[in-house]
Amino acid sequence: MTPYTNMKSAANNLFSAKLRSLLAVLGILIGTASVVALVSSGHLATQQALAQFKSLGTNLLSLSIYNDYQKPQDQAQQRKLSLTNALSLTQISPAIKLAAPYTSTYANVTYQGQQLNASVIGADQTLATILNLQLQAGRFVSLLDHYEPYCVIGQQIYQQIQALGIYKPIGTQITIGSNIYTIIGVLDNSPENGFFTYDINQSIIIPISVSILLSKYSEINNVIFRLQENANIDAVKTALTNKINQVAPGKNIFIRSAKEIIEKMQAQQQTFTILLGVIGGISLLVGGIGVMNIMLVSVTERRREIGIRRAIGAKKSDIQLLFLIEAVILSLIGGIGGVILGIAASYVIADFSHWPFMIFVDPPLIGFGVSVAIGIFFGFYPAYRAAQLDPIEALRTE
Amino acid sequence: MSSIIELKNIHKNYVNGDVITHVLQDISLSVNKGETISIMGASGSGKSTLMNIIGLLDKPTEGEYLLLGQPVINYSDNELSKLRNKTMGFVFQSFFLLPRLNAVENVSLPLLYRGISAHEAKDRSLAMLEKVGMANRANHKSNELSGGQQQRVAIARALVGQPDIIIADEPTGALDSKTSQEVLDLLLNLYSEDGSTAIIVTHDEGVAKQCHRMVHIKDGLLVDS
Repeated sequence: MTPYTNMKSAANNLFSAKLRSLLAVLGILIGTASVVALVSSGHLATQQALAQFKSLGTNLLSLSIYNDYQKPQDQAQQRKLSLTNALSLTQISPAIKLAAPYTSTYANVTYQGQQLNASVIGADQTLATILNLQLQAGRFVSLLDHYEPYCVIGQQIYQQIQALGIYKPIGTQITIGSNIYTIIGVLDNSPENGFFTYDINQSIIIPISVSILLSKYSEINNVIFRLQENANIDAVKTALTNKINQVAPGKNIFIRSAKEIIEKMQAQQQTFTILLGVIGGISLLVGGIGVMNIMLVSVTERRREIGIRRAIGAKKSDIQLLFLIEAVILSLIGGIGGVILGIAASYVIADFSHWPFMIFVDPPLIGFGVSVAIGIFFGFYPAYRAAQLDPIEALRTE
Repeated sequence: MSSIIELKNIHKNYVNGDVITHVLQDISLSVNKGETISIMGASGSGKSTLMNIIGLLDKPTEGEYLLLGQPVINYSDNELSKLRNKTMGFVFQSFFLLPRLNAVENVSLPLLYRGISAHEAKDRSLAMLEKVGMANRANHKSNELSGGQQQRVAIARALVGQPDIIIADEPTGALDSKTSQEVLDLLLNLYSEDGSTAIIVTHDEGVAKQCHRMVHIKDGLLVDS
């Protein structure tokens, strides 16, 4: 038997038992599709999560300073990080390019008597540089504004104001807490990023010098740094910790680097993706058992055919191959269909979750490879049984 | 004439628990090239087992079998399959065509298992179908053919590989008497053309008489006549 005639014969047999073949194919198809869809979605989620950190570059560092309430006896010695000290942090290491200190306060914000939903951030123009904030109109707040009651509003705030019928808010006034500020700029919509704790679109930014004066509790809690490419992150971290302990003693310090976060997330997501793949693999396994079941039925039904073929001169290996090829064709069709369905499903998932969609090479390859392997694995035993049949017994079958 | 099949003291026993059934006892038989032999016997006499042993589908418990002068008792399953393919042509009572294949595909099978290309196998099978008068039904499946037509196709399948021996198990058992004679004529005419040897297992005295030699088997023992 040449491979071609074997294939033709197998296809012929499968086609004559359409419904049964379809059911076997369906099992493999669903299994493959779930592997492909789950692994692809895992990849897409990873890409999406990483994009939040990668969009601003991997050379970012964030420093958080907060009071240590575990040690109340130290509170007397605690000192706030002053603006001057915060700004001079750029000097402690040549690896630091930019430093953007910022404060955050919760305050009641009203515009023309209408309450707005906003976070109030105190910052200077360096924050706009590091976070790559784009202005739709006006300008950003600057250190040169000193104590001027100016503010810049995020895109969502702008939309809330628009809803009140104001389309050109620059120059109009907004009440934050008990003070009135003049709007000097409107920010474009800026993409979410994992490195800045607040949603910049939902924020109102006021000059940092102003924010520090607002209450006795106002202080600089955060600094974002942009480092030189290939900076030694650990060295910068140590230098920063030492400096902060010196200029603002008694505080807890927490430093995160974009690079480390990305690496950690990648490792986590990889585990997650493997887990998803295994879950998908289970349904593929079930599909494989379906193929085995149907092949066993087929062997039992075709005992006489096996006997005839053996009498005519088919070797055991010929019979084995005949049934194995059928199982492989079933899983091949299921595999191809599953890959297509899986990619389509991951597209739907991406669309639904508002993730950018892309096709990855490895999930289809894995899904396809595993489905064919499953076909061979689960097709082997029925084919073996067929080959081992005694030709006389097989011929006697009614 | 050289002897093509040489059975010497063949025994076949089946063991079922403590009970040993002697299906064949001390059978010795030799068949010459070009000879047609009918094996007759009641059901359960052991004639099917004898036929299966001659046809290399079964192995005797004891005894010697020389096929074309070669001892085949210790051949492996693979070697026996190849030997069956080359030397044996089987014709069965219920035709045993593969229902999913058409006539020409059925006839091609022995050639395909021999490794002959699909194209050549088809040409040779069509020529063989022509000889048995079935060329116009080459693309019909077995359920579209009458019993006599199916048996003609089955004969074509048995002969297409030019085997040394035809083994026919009740070839006319499922056919009416007129068709039986046509099929038998076909078998006998094609034998003599090709000079094949034939072993026909039958109940039918009329069929047996048309063979060169008649052999009776009773309770596993050969009763020459």
